[in-house]
Amino acid sequence: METIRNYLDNMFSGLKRTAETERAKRELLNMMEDKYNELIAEGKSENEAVGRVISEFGNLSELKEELGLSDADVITDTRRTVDFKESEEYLSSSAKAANRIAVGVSLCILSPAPLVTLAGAFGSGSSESVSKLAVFIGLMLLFALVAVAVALFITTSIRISKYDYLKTEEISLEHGALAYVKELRDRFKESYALLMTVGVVICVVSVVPLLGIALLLGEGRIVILGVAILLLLLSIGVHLIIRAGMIKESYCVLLQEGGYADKKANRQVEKIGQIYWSVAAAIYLIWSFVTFNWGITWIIWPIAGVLFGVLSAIINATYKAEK
Amino acid sequence: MIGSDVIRGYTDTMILFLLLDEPSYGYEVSKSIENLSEGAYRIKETTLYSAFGRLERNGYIESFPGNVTFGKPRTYYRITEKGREYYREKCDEWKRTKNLVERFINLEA
Repeated sequence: METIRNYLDNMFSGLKRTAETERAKRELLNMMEDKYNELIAEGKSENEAVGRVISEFGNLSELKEELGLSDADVITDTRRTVDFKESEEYLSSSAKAANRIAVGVSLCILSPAPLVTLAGAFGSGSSESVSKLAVFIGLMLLFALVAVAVALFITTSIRISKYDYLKTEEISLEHGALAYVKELRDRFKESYALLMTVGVVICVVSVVPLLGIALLLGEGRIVILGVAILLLLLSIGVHLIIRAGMIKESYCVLLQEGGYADKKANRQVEKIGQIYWSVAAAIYLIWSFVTFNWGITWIIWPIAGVLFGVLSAIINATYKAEK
Repeated sequence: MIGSDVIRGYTDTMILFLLLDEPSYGYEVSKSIENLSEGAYRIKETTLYSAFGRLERNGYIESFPGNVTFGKPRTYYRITEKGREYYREKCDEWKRTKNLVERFINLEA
């Protein structure tokens, strides 16, 4: 109910307070409350009821005559307007995309784990044919995992590409959508902090088992186990970080905050990003296959991530300076 | 799905129809419209409110404070004689509109 009241306050915040606007606000609130109460009585959840009431509210420009306003009072702008339903769809698609991308990245990180484990277990000491078979199976699993991940990346990017205009065009959220997205974002802040903290802690801690095994049990096959645990923990930690980051990013896109304030710079960053990440993937694969040092080559990804952040910050700064 | 442009000219008729027998208030009217249309049309709150205002300014309906239910005073609307006349005119207009458009409709095309 509070959300509905805030929504109306927001809608009317740009208008002069007159007897007409106050009356309209009171009447509209009455209708919305009636509808909300009935939806709740029907057994709908709070979120569902608020969502429906707000999405069926309509458009303030319809009330121009009622409120005695001229066209100038109802601000017109040329930006593409994004309404409540569109924002809602974008946010839910983004959350799904975040999940799929995070799973894909986890699979990539995990992909060498079977190979490393099998090669370690059936390495020196086993007969040559057995160790060759182990490596073969490990490689097959590696390719299978990477293939699934790549499929996830491609299908997700196709699905989410229909919302590209939100990132590249000048947009303006309808009053109601703006209030709704802001509220969701504020509610997400806590989960974001939690996911990020847990993710980072897991990543930092991930090397501990490897170090522990190496120090306590010495060299040998058992170290391989440490590498496998390292990859597993990393995949979980990175998964959490990516999910939290992508969901937060979707709020930034809609609210045009952070890196999404400047659309021109954004288009540039996107273009460079495509090349950048392909190069990073190539370096990772070449380095890994030449040295077979899977325990260390994953370091490419966090480094590439940080560098990309720096790069886009520089691009954004140069565009700002031009202005 | 029915285009809102088509409906717009007839929301007033729908509202007047619902007030023919007895006075009503905002949400009740909106719910009746949804029920009668079997969910095919939901009137937006802003559309309904502006229609009430327009109808009242033209003297087709009158508003009055209703009894207090759940501690909330509701604005009720009742149809006037002029409103009934206007409603009949709109019904007639719709019949003629329907007849006219019907001549251009071929569902097998």
